[in-house]
Amino acid sequence: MGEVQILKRPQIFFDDIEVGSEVAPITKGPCTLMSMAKFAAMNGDFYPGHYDNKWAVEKDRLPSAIVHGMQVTTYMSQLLTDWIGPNGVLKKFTSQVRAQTFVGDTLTMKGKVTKKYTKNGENYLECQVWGEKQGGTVVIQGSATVILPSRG
Amino acid sequence: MAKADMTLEERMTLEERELYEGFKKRIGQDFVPLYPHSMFFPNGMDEPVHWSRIKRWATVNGDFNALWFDEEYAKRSRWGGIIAPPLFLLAMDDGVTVPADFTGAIYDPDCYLKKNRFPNFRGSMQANCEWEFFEPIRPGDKIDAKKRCSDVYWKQGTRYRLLFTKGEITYTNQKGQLVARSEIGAVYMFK
Repeated sequence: MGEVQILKRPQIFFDDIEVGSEVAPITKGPCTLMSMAKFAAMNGDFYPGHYDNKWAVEKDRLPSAIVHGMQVTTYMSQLLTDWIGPNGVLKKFTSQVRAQTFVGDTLTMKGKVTKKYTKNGENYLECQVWGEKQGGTVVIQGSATVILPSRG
Repeated sequence: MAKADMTLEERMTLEERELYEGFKKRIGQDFVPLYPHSMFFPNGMDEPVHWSRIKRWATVNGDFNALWFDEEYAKRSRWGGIIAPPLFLLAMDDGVTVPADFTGAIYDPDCYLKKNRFPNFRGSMQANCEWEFFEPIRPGDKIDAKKRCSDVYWKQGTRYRLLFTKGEITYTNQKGQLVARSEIGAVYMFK
């Protein structure tokens, strides 16, 4: 695996975020047959079209094997867990796959804050989130609710 | 009657109707898989969560957040110790969710389509995916999953007839705490 850097994410605070604030984007990929096979091994979904190019092309008439929708979804959840820091909480997360992701695709996950409020003593942010591949096609979109600490 | 004039219900073949109504009957009941398929392998929901599985899941997804790897760091956070990433539950699925069961009904054991039974089938995709998180998952936790088929319905797409299936899963831990809830759907495309 080589040298892997374990990352201590910075803590962001409720006070510093406004409606319209951007969620710090992250890039995932490029997706490879290997990354797709590894996901199959962890997720337990071994449909051949997810890691076998010949199968995907011949049986499913696709340009290549396709990335599991669940892997793209997992990438999108990382957008949030990276952003909220060690003391943030991901409360709700919804997503819909909109287009297929193929071998070689690089994905950029993005988000924007749509709501900011305090409820029962907790600081909530609601965000719109989505993922694009190179070229701009939206492959996944959804929403998330997070709780952040305040500076005080 | 021209195809365009028939409703989605009327356009089902005998086999499609059998499948559709079989699933409709199971809505709201505790989910028991009827079509297990070897392409989905059991993922050990019956085992306690092991830190090595958390690390492998995170590594496979290129997620090197210290909360999943560094106990000293995680101890200083609100979590008090290493936790699993929120979607780690996908690495504990026993492979027999509602959409997976639907897929198992359509494909032969070697993953070839049951072409004789479903000649109109054109493919499937993940549809909606909704999660709510209540408690973190920690190494050593034992997670229990209760599953229910929550919906099955047809919709006319721009190109295909679309059959949506949805399943709900409620996850609890060994302390009886509600850990998470999900609703995950898949869409099956038929000519």
